[in-house]
Amino acid sequence: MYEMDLLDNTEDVNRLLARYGVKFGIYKNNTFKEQLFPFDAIPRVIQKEEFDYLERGLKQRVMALNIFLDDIYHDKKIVRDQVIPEDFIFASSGYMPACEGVTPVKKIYAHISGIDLVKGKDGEWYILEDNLRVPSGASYPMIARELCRRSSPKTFRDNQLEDNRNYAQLLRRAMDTVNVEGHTVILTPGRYNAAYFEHSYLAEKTGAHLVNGSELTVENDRLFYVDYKGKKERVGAVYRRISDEYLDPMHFNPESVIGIPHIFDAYRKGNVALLNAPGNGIADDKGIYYFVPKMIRYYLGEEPVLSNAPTYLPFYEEDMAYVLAHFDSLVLKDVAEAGGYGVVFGSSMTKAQKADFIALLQREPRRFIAQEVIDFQDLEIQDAGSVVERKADLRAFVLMADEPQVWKSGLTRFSRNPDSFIVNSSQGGGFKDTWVLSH
Amino acid sequence: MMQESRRFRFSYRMALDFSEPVQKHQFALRMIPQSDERQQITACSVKLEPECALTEETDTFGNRYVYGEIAHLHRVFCVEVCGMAEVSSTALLLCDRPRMELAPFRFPSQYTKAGDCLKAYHEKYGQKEDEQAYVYCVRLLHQIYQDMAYVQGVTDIHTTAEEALAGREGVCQDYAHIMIALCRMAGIPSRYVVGMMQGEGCSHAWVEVCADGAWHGMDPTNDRVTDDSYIKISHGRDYQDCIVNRGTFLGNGTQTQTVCVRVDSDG
Repeated sequence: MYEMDLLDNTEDVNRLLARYGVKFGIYKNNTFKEQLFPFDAIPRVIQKEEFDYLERGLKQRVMALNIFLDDIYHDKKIVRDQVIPEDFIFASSGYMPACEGVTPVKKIYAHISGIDLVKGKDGEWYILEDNLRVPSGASYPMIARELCRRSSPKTFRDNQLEDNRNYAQLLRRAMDTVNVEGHTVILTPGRYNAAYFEHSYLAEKTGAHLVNGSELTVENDRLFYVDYKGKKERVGAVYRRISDEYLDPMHFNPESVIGIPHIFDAYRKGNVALLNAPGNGIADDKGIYYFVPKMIRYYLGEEPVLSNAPTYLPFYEEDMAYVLAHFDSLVLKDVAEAGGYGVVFGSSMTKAQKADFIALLQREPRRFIAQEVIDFQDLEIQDAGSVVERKADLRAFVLMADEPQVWKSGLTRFSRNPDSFIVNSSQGGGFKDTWVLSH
Repeated sequence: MMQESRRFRFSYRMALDFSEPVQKHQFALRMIPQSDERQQITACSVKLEPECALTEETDTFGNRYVYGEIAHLHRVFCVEVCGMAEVSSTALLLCDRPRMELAPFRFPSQYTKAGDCLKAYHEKYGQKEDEQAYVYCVRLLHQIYQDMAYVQGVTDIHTTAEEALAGREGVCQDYAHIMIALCRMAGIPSRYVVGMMQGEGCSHAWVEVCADGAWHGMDPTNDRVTDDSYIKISHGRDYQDCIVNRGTFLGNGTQTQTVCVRVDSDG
């Protein structure tokens, strides 16, 4: 369905991506390394009907997660009604007491959600995880699409697919919806951040100011942007990727040098919107993931459209028994880790490792979840002139304005290692564009 | 109605000396004691040098804090909180909130996560069957006092309960963190308290545990349950919630902090 020049020009597209700075910075063993994020031009294609189904499920999921956040920081009905055991809320590092009783503008917590899915060999889609702390990745398929339209114009003339360059408009709407008064800014920790390219690209595309912490200041519980002449202008909404812990040295980690003193005071008084809201870490905790389908039934009174990968909580005795009995066929995840770290496969452990791990699991059952290894579909990728099949997932983006909107594209990440299921960019994988057909 | 109580005159002075002038100095101070069932603050003033407008707020744990900014260059930043307190020796600090609302004080926080040392300690000295929470806490505070040596300079503001217990040495902050971690492991809500004690010196940290509907002050550093010579300033999950002075500023050079707390009996 595509012209050969789309594939033939892959190298040129990758060269341009490198020049535009499409890189991923990662910290490994305390050193900062920047690596390219290799692009594969064979798109992942999703039929319209299939995407409509995903869209319904994703909207439903994000709605429920948003209500959950509001509930946790106010009434805690879901805990009182014993749908979720309190340990999973209050012992989670994502729960922030400072957010108790604080209501963000329009009760929106999850302005930008990145939901990771895989398609199993059975043709079913499964949710792997939710990312509600400003997930990165949308800029990559955006710019890749832009470059591919130039490298293979005929492909895009002949195929009826959804334009994905509207992400900027969706994001702009999400930001404008909650903007209290004044400018919208994209706050970046700077060029050593893994997502620096994304910050600068989104700022350019949305028309928001790209700022660092030293250009923002709080006065009288209001946030201001200070320009090069020292002039102050009010800021009403901040897209930020700085983690909660580093956001405000007056409230959280006192040694943060990338945060903005008193921004949390401005936020909790409703004088500025933060995208996403502080405290969201409780909703994308891997332990909470298990409860999302229950959450959907509890808050919305609906059956979940999209399923989780079959998941077990060793916290529950019967689940522990199952996990021990089927250890080799499961993948175990440390709930406190992200980015593909803290993920181990039962089958790949030596006997000694396994014994150690099981001992740890029995000591700290709350710390882990176990999942069936989903045999997910391979996608074709180009590898040294030939086409091979590799594991891939999809990060779908849901943006909340007055209601949730699903971006008709997504970041498809693949593993370059034929034996690996881990596709995270921080683990060296590559990406593809995601085409959603328009009819 | 007569109630046993004592009157104190207190002053809490904190000064920062900068080796080079600094500017854009933003700060948040948690050093103002509040009235509660146990203590009445009958007079209180806050003096700042350089002078500066202050905003007053209450944080999520109910502590009063004030904040402000000194934009111009300065070499010294000095705060003095002075006042009068009347502390009861009998009144209880009520704890009638639903158990759920005490969750932040029941689960481990950054400084109070249990590692192998705390787990072994808990295994050895944990709450016995039929032992009342209050009785257990008192036993625990004596046990910690016995097993720890008060040594300054071996731990710092980043030291966790686990690390301090492993080294068996530390200061009041470490004693308090260890006790909090152990109480929480036993399911007893407990919180970190910063305050002042009669006499002259630095501020002090101790623990409040919730038992039988009231918060009880426990001071493992001094091997005793708190009495009417303790004036409370703030409480939280651990040290980080109660940091007395948070600040950021622009400038080079180093800062030296001096703290002088004085609490005298008044009549």
